[in-house]
Amino acid sequence: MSDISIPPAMHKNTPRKPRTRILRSKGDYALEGFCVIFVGIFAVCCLIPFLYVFFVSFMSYNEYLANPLRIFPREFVLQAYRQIWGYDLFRSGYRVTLIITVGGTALSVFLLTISAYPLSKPHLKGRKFVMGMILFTMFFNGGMIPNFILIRNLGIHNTLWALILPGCISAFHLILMKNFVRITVSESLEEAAKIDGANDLRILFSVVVPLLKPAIATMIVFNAVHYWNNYFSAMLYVSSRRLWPLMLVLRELVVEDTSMVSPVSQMLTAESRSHPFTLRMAAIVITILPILAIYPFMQRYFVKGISLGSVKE
Amino acid sequence: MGKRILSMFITVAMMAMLFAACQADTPAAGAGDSSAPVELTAVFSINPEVVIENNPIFAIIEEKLNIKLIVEAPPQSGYGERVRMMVATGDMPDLLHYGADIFATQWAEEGLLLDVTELIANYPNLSANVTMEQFGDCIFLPDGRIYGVPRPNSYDKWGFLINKKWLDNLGLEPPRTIDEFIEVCRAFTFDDPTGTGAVTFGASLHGNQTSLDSGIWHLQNDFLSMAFNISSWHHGMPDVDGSAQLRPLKSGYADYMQLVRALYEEGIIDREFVTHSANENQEKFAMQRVGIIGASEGNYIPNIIERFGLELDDYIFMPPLVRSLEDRPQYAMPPSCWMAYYVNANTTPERQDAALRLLDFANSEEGFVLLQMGIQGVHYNSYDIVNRTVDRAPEQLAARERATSNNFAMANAFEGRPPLQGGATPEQIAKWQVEAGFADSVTTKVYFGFTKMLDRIGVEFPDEVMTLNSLEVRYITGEVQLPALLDYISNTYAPRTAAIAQELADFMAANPARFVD
Repeated sequence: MSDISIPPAMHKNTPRKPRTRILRSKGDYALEGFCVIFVGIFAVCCLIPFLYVFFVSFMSYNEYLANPLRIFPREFVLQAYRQIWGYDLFRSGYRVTLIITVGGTALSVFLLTISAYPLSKPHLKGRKFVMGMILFTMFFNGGMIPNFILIRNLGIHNTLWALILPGCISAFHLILMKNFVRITVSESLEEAAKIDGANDLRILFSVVVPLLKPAIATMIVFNAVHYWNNYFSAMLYVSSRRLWPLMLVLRELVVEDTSMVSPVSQMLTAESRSHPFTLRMAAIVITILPILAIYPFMQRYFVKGISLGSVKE
Repeated sequence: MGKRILSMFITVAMMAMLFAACQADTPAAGAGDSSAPVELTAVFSINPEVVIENNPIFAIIEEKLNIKLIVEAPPQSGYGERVRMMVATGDMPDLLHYGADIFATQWAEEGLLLDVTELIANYPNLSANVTMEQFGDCIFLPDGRIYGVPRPNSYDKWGFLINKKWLDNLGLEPPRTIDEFIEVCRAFTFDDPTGTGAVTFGASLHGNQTSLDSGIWHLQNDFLSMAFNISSWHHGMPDVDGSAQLRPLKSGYADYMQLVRALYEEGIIDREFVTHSANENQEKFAMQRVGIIGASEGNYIPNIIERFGLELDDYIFMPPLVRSLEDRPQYAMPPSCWMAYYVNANTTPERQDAALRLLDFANSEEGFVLLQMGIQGVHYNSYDIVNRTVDRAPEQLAARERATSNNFAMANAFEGRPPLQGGATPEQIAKWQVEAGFADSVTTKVYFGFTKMLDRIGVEFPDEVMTLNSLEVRYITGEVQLPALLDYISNTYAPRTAAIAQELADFMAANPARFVD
């Protein structure tokens, strides 16, 4: 215990500083009331679609057809969920999504950290050129077919790597991270570590990384959401259904457009693969539930992420 | 220290798991001897319920045909893009399932697709089950050669399904003419057919924007448009005088457009139809919001009544409408195909033969039953191919859905008929026989060939097509007037597409439509 800490009993008896009361007019109360009502209505508007999806997933299809605008089901049934769990691709999709979300996020954050740190050093030779090349990829890319050929020639087509590597480092995230390192880590701290005998790697992992925790947490959230929601890479780079992520399975259930040119084929295929609305809602609930569950815990990092690296010294 | 070691151990284990999980599946090396099955790579559009790995149907195919199928089934929601990208990057498989569209034409021009014109004769089931009219879907080039094997489908006969309970509540009869249809729509909209005061509409149409058509055209609307000799997606349907015309130049075009606009304006059809997606009009029908929708004679019971859990006796199927009682209703009967199969022209002759043998088997009676119904004793008890009925338990049906589907079967019709007809139960079949039989007896069937040259309109004149589409929709919704629409057609659209219209006329003169009562 330090010398300046206040004993509990003494703390209790310390007279409190009287609160300053701010005088508020009726207009202030009216404005506050209006804001509360307005924000409340807005919140309800945001919430209703979620509630609708959630409750419809527990309805029987016949009840939905009888009144599609009904929010609360008369009777809760698990028919749609039973059907979904009987669906092989849903289970394998969950496994694939968990692997790419955990593995992809870990790899992404690791690569971002080890790239951002050296790029934040003004004395690094060729830094501007490298940053220019990174910036270039934000505005231009090879396009779908060259990307496909690249993935195929790398030998990672139809592997989980094809779902992890293409989105692993985002130029935008790298710039955010680099700015955060520059603002957070002071030169003097690194110099002190150097004097203590630490090499660059030791400085990075023992001094810099602990200071980057808020940025790393933000990047974890950004990347986890990206990997969880990504289906397009799988559409292009994966040919085995066992490697379909959850979002692609969901898309197969929800989207009826088959993107065939022939309208007759499109109609026939769409008819044969149409799924009841309640089943689609159950699929959405199952798919978003995990990310929805962790979101409240990570929300503050999302907010922080918006202003990350925006202050320039 | 202990924590650090544990943490490092977990990290290493995680990375090892990740690496292990990310390894590519390495296919087993082929045996190399002549008795080993031919490995055939194929890309098929298969619904996600079918399990590809260890599929029992593939095993039977391997046993019977000595063909080991290596199937890739991309997501159906992006199937077209995926296939086009595979072909563009030189990854074309030995056998490809794709539409007979402008891209297939391009692949045929580039020599990527095997010319099967002479080969068909060597595979007797192909020529027996796929008609030459159907093969016409795969004649892409002026040389008249056949570059693929169409997936045969049964003829669709588009009539309409009407809510009989509503008719009974209002003391009405099912409509036969356009005027009667309008009266029934008014009554369904304004006279409270449900007796509950719920908002209802007379009918719902279907809309689906394609490369050639605006959102007001759809086969499901043929029950209405055939009264004007217009079949939404089949442009070979002759005009009243027997001539071949592009749709906007047909004699009944303006009358049909005025009719739809009047129905829209009065609010006696569901106004949302222009933006409907796949099955929304059917869902609204099942929700008791609309009383009439277009339906195909062959499958209205399983596809609508059974799928939405409706009461069988509450609905009637009716033939297409006519303008006057002296006219006979007409079914447009173009050859029906559900995409096609293309063999890679640059693969080995052995694999080309294997691909054609597979398609030949799929078009035989044995192959058709296997691919449509599954394995006897496992997926069904018995199947009557004459009456197209099946005896199977619900659990057998569930097992069949994991093994095969009508998406996977390479023929969707055998001898011109679908695998199941009318329904699954004796009551359904009895009802279907009465209603479909009546509709058939009063209707003239108009048979005509594929009009492939019209696909070029969307490619060569995209701006004109888009402008016409926009004007059509805006006319129906009341934003522009008829003279503006007709002016555009006669002064811009018709002159620009005149050469293709002439090709259509020449083709139809050489292959005239047949009318069968």
